[in-house]
Amino acid sequence: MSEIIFIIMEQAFLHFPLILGTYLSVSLMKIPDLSVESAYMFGAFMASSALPFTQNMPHCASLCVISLISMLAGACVGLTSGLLTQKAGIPHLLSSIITIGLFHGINQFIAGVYIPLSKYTNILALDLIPLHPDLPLLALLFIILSLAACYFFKTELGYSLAVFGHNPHFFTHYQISTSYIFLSGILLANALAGLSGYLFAQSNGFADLNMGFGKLLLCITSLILAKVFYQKTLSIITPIIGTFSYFTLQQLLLKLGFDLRYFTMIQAMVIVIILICQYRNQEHNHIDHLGV
Amino acid sequence: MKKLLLHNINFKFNQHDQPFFHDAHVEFKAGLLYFIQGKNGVGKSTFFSLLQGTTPRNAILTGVIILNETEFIIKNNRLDHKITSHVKTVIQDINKMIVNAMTIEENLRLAHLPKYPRLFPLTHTINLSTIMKDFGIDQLHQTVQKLSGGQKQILAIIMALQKTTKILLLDEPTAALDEKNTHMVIQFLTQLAKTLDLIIIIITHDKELTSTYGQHHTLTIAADTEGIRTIKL
Repeated sequence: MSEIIFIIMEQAFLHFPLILGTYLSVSLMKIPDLSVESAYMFGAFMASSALPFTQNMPHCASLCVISLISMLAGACVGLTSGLLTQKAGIPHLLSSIITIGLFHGINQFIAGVYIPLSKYTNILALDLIPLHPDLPLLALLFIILSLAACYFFKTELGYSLAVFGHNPHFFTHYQISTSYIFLSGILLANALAGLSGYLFAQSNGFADLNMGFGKLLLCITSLILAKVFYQKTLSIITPIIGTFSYFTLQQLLLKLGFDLRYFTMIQAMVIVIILICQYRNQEHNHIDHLGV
Repeated sequence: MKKLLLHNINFKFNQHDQPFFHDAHVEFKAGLLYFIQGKNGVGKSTFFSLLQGTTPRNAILTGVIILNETEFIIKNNRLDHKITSHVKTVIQDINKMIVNAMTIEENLRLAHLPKYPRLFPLTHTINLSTIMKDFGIDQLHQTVQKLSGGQKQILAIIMALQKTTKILLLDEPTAALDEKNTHMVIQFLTQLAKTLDLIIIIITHDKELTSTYGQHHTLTIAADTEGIRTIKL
């Protein structure tokens, strides 16, 4: 039993930055930000490519440098899709699809299609918990991110992201820069996705070109699950509940003997069931265009 | 006496166009409500854009503006930032100016956001007008959704006034309101102009509104046969 709890925690901590990122862009800002899948993969690849160069650094320094690189790489993807939307006038759904295509190529050009990490020291590992060496550092990161997000949601920029989701026209009437808010949100969301990509690659021992596939569906499932339990907007509780309920559900289904191959289908079904229930329930009759 | 005086205002949309406003002269006194009426396309919104400093890039604008004894000669075809920074506008579609899903208090705090929102906590200081209470907008923790059309209009006005303002422009504030709400909004504006010593200018198509509330302060913009606009009180 304790083993399953460890697995749920590890998976949740690995994916938490990604889900927090999509909470910002998809839930709060209501932007169909598909490019997080690309940011997740690109963050993993750039950090993995930089890993050999940090082998001689002190452990803490190498961890900071690598995390920073993964976030910058993610932010690069966000910047591309954000600028395409803001400066070229391409609708964001289309610009994020274009971005995925662009970075699919860029990544193969710079880093290839597969990077094994087994020959390098795992900088996430601390020998405190047997079988789960990554868990203490991941938990620490989870706490830091949660506290940072908690503060962020009370700031001017945090509020602005939520306002953008409710009413993107709001800012022009108060001489506030809409494109600055849009880009900040997208950059943050994709940087977090990049970090998550690296954590996943490090924990699994490889980075792979297709690792981002389906990640947005995972995030949306988590966030819709969270909405069932907790409705308040602009709260760190939502992504936390979402992350943990998703992986608890996943592990329970695995325990019951479900084949992991069909899990994406299960996710889709979970979303459909929840959305149909909300639609039938008159109080939730106004589901917005992203469902979260 | 606080006032805004527009003197010898000449405006055309570009160098080769005929004049739009020619030697126009208008005076607005603080503490009063002014209505602007005129046919569609006659230049009511153009007049607002002069005051907001948002005229098109190729437009030619000359003249003198006097705001509370200080004289500004128009340079570079646009009003000085020292004047436009005191001008706030409430647009016709007020739903674009408020966040329905948030509370009244949050909306008022959001109106203080700087051009580039920072990573500092959102301000808790809000400027509340004492007269808000008289119009039923004192339960700050209520969501905006629950307010009536007139109350939403009043909220949008107070939000526009969160940063220092001397001149308030309103584009058809009562177009979507019934008689009762219209009366409420105009009452509110009349009191607001007095208490805050504001110049309030309202664009309207509602003849009844101007005859009921604006007997002495209604400006009419009209075009003569050559297309030159005149502004008459």
